[in-house]
Amino acid sequence: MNLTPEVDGLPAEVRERLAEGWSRDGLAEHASIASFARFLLELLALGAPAELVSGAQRALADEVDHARRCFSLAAAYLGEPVGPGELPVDAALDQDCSIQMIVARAIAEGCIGETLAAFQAGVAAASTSDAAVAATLRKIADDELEHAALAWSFVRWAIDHGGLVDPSVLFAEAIRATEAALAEPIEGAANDDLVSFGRFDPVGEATLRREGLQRIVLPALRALARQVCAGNAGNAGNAGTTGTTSGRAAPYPV
Amino acid sequence: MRERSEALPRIVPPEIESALAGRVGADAKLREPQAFIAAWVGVVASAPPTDPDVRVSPIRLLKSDLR
Repeated sequence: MNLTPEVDGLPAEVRERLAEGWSRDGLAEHASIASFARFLLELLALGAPAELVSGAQRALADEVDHARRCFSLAAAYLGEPVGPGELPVDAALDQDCSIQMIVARAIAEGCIGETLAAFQAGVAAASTSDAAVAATLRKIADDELEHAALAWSFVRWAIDHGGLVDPSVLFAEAIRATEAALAEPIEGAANDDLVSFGRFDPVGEATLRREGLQRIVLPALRALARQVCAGNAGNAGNAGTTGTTSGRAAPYPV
Repeated sequence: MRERSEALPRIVPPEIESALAGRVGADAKLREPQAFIAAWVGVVASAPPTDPDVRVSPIRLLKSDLR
């Protein structure tokens, strides 16, 4: 695995900015390790099936690999080692662990966040000619897509599991928030001078994520919301259930 | 993952990271499922802060709502 990007001839200022960007990505991946560790515990607490538990375990290992790759690229550009510090996790489990909140976190961080991360990494991989950077971005894109699918699968299971109170409320809020966000203009213009290195500036990142929201996330949310509503309607009068029997055999949106 | 943790402050001063994380975590409304989703979507759809002294992605902060 070659994780050494081309650095010869790059101005110091460019190398510094690339190192900073990959360090930020490394920190996000590092934090994702803890997120999946928490998700694993939540799955166990909910009595989730082994397929979901093992999927979360694989995802956690993926995030370790992603963090290593990102920090390796940062170090190569900076010319000195770069790595994460301590991640305070004192309050990691001091949160609302109801199925409602667990599913909300899965929708936000998994269904939406991982989908956008995969989309963004895929576009970035196609934008760079540096083999090491492209390989890292492709690996991240492939893995994040798997993580997104895992999140969608978990949400589907949580609905069928029946402990989720009125799941349509969560999807309605996700759809409403997405539509509202897409209606807001992005301030500023993108500086794309590092795109050929596989990196987008904050405005470029936001623009990409909005495209992913519009093209991928929103249709998926609407599709699952329709299934949930159909399930509720099919179970009208069946007191005490969230009504998703008809949705059990439906395919996952991703 | 501690290949060289001492190199980190060069990139993200811990006091800045802690302050921002605290600000996000202090918003009690984010503890409500629908509010959490709405806040999260709002963040990913917006450009991160451009203040050069605040080089921390909001995505990272929310993923690290573990704090």
